[in-house]
Amino acid sequence: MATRIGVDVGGTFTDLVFYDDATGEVRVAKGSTTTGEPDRGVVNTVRAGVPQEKLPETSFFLHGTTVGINALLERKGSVVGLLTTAGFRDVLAMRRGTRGEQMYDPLYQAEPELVPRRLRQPVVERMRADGSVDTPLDPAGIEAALEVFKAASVETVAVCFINAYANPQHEVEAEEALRRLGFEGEISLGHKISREYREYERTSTVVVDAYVRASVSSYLGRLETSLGEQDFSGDCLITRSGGGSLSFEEASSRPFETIMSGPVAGAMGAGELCRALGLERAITADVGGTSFDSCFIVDGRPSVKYEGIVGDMPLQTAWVDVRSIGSGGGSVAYTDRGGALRVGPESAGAVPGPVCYGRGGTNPTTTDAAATLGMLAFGELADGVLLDREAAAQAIEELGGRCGLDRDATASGILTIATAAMADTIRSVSIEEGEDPRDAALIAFGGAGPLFATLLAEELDIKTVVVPGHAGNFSAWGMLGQDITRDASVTAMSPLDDEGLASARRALDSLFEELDQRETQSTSGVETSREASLDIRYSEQESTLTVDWTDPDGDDVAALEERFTTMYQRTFGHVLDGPVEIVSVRATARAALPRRRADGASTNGAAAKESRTIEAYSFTQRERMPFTVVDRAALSAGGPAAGPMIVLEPTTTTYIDVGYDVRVGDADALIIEKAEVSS
Amino acid sequence: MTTTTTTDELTVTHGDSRAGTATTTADADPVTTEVIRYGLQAAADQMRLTLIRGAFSPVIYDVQDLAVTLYDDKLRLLAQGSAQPLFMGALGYVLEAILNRLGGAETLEEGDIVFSTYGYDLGSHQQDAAVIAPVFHEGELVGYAVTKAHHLDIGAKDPYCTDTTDIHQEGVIFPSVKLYRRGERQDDLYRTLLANSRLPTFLAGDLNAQIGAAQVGLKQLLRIIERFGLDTFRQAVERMFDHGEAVMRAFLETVPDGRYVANGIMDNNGVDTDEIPMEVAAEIDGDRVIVDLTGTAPEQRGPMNCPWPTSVAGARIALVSFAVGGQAGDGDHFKGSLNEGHFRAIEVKTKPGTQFHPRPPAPIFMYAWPVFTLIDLLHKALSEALPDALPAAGGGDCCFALWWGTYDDGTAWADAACHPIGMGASARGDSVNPLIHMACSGVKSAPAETTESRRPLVLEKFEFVPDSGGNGRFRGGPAVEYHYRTLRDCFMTLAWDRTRTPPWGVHGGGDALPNRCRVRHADGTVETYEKATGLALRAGSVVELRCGGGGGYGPPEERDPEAVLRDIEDGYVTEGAVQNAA
Repeated sequence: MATRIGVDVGGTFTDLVFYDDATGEVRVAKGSTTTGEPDRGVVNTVRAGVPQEKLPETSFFLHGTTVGINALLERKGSVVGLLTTAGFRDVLAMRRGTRGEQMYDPLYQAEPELVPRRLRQPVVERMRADGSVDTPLDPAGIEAALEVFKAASVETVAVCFINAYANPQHEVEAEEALRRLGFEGEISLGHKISREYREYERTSTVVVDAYVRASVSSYLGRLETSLGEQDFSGDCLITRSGGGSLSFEEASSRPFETIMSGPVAGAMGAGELCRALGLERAITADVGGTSFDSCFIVDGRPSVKYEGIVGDMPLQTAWVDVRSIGSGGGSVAYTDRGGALRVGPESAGAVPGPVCYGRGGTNPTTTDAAATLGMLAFGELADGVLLDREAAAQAIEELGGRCGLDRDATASGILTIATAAMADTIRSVSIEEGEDPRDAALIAFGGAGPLFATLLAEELDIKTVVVPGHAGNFSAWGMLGQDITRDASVTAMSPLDDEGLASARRALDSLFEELDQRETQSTSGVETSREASLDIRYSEQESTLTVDWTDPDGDDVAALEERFTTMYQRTFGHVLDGPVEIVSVRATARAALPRRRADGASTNGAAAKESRTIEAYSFTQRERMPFTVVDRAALSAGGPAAGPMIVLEPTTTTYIDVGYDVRVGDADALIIEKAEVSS
Repeated sequence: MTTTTTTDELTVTHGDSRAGTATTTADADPVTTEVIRYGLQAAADQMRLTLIRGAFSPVIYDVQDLAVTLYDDKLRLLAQGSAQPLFMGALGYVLEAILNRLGGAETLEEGDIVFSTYGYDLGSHQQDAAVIAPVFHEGELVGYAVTKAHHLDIGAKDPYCTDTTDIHQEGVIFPSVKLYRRGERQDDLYRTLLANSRLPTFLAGDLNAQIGAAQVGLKQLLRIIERFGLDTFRQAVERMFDHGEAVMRAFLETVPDGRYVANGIMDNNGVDTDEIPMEVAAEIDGDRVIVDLTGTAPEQRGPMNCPWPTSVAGARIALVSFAVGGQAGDGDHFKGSLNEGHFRAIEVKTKPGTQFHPRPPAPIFMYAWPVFTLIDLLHKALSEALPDALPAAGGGDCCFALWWGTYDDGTAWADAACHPIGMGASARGDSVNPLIHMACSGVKSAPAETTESRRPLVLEKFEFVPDSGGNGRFRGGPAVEYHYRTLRDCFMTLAWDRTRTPPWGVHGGGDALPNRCRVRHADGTVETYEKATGLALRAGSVVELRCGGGGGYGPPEERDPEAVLRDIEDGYVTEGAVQNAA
């Protein structure tokens, strides 16, 4: 039995999906996020969305949360002390000297570092890049640092030394010294968190880990206890930024791996859907209230990078390459100083929200534009609230007056501009992968994603759009399919030759040993598979490509070089002469959860109503015309239906323009396809 | 179109800042305009990514010493990727010069790639090779993808020079040649180019990345034109330029009219030891500004001369950043989305035969250095106009060092690095984070671990200097020390200035510690250098670079006493220094 619950905590809503393995039944629920105490909102939503008698027989609770990221962005983490190599006290503040996107801001200053200078304490020691000792560690510095830390009530100590990725011996000695000297708090040890080179990025990762460790582990502990009180006794798992999930227990000691758990689950769910539908290439369009998230998926695998960024802090950890821009249902439209019409990135959020929500919002948003154009049909929300379409239209009309456009031109313009911004993000994501977006299917989900489905298809010349089942709660649904995964990697530079490959094999063996040691209760007894990959580049280049190392014992130099050059050709359109080198070795241990049935239709959807008609705006026809309005549940049978059509379900609305057909495909997904033009 | 140049006997005016220079009253719809503007910017950013991901040299992928741009058929900037502001909008002049040398745009054919390394056409040193792909739509020339990137070696007398005396010592000149004709590479030219480099593998790799970037730009520009049709595209572009112009003029209207002047001093020109005085002025007149560089020093015997296109770019950086600082958070209009329109209200006056308008064959290798001080001085002048908009001075340099040598097997290596400097304090508060000079904003300084993993160098230090930022109501950013130890014999070029004049405070704030380069040679001697080319270093030498701090803002006696205590606790200042000041 593998009955499971997925809960995704977002900025506004807490989304739940319950899957009953015995019956295939799926329930969705949406609750309010309880800011400051999110575990309370999670428990409330579980109570509302899962029948009480089902909880004892539920095997897994899968979670995605913004607790770690919020602690970071709101600067509400622990007091951290940092031990650094003498001479390198300011690595964290130097930040490689960039202004980020504020290129021309003469007054630019970064956010204050997570560890102020007084708590960044130098220790005399030095490793060389080849792992040899340049200067042995002098424990006297640690004693002096500990005095400073005690006086400042430091809760967690982070240790990150130069070149410790090549030889962690001094970090190990520092930990021993800290314990010997009586430090009892948590310790975030650099090489246990990252063994990849680049000191600023690694120090940033280690400090982030130290900073959120206490808040993440106490949150997860409280949540596990509360769930226990509801008679849940299964395993608690949390989504990793790099895909897959890990147990609450392991997440408490490796919290930096969970920073991006929300958007990633949607991308992973989309990957699973691609496998179910046989889609080779797909792009996600996950549109929420404030942001648009997109990811490229090849053969059911979302693209994964090995460096992420939160705020302006880099993180060296596996990172599903979900690109985000500030464009969502709440994005505000305005005219700028030069009189141009602009949309976002500012969002009206949940409060005051779009004008049509009637909660005090006065600035027109993309949702108001959609409501004005009739794209949200009659504006009936799941909880019985009716959108104020009149107020929305009025706000749009006022804005239009400022740039010389009538009401419908303004509203359609707002959505066209928002669509263009999303489309350009999709193009960037695709082009960097060496792919053409026209060869991919678009998977639209999130509260506002299905609204943009055919708009994006039209802009990008994409032929197929998929709106998955439970599209509004799709991130929570995606969580249910996550494997339990553990990653480790190490920078180990060597030429790609027989000798280099042999040393990479030795590095891989020790990575798997490390992963075995990290195994916890949830994964013991589950069949675990092992995966390996290598970061490879042309010698002298900086950027690498991550190449599958499918058979670490069998793959020879020629096979790996072939794999690398094929991938290089695909990504950059050409290959180069010259030697190739290994930069990093990566290992993953994966324990698959029992498969769930992919066709579980939601059982708590509203009963199908008779289809109705509304005058709505068609972007392909550039005029208003009658749109059929149907409930999603009513679509489940029969052959393809032709747009224009608006499909309603409890947590989202799908807008299908003229020139597109829709049918219900496998896995309860809506398949929207460009209609064949008849001559 | 880019150079509305009027000449009298003594001065040349670049641009025409009078209002009403907008070419049409474009009536493209605002929605299409915004969609096209966004698409052009995304295209330029994709060009940048293509270039840095394919490049071989850290000077491209880390230092990002490059420019990627799209121009229309009238040589007006459509979009520029977010790299090196130093080339801000200057590529239009480059394009114009290159087309003139070829005999006009009509000599171009589909599939051509034009290549130039002539400094006076490029507006910068010959290493900054330009690669241009003309864009044809249904047989009609509709625009250009224009890129520039710094190549580590194209056969100058040394890989990086601070002591040249004419342009011919500064690298092999390819005066606008077609490297590709109708899609076919001209192999004789290509081989000649590589044969003249000490680092042909790097040159080939970087050049191919640059060509790849130009081709991405070409494809994306065509995609946009095909999507909307050429007429709609052209109307939208006019409207986009008019909008950029309106944004800039609206800001300038808020600045009090007047002529704002500042004076400064540079160390020397790399050949002579004399200091170089500099006087710059910005005249705000309603919604326009005239930057006057005619009061600058005569053309220099050493390579501290800046060809006028980059002088204009320097003035634009100073003015655009002034606008961003002066709009208090409303600077989004400039965030990586500059176009020709933003520059229409800016006019620049230069005098031929001066440091900011040299004539061939005067040496120009260090063309960027006068621009650092130009920007700092324009900011100093304009901070009198809007005191909250601009900070005190920073270290005023990109603190550039370049090493090269050979490994045991005889293969050559080279590595280059820019270093961050302390920033001046401002009305917003203290400065903490050192940054790369605004002229090179976007450059990332190299990690110690990357350098050490591939070069025979060890960093001993990478840290703030106590008591180095200017005092004031708000404290300037600290200076930074970088100490490099050499593990093998090698050579080094130090391209530095502003080691003699400290970064200044403003509105009563104190000065900061200036730049300094010192070498502890392996034999025990210690020497301080200002500029040096091909300095021989034995294994075991330590190069101690100090990148200057930032000046203070406001009188020190107005500083919050608690902030002083915090500074002592953090080690930004020492107790001794505080007592001495009291």
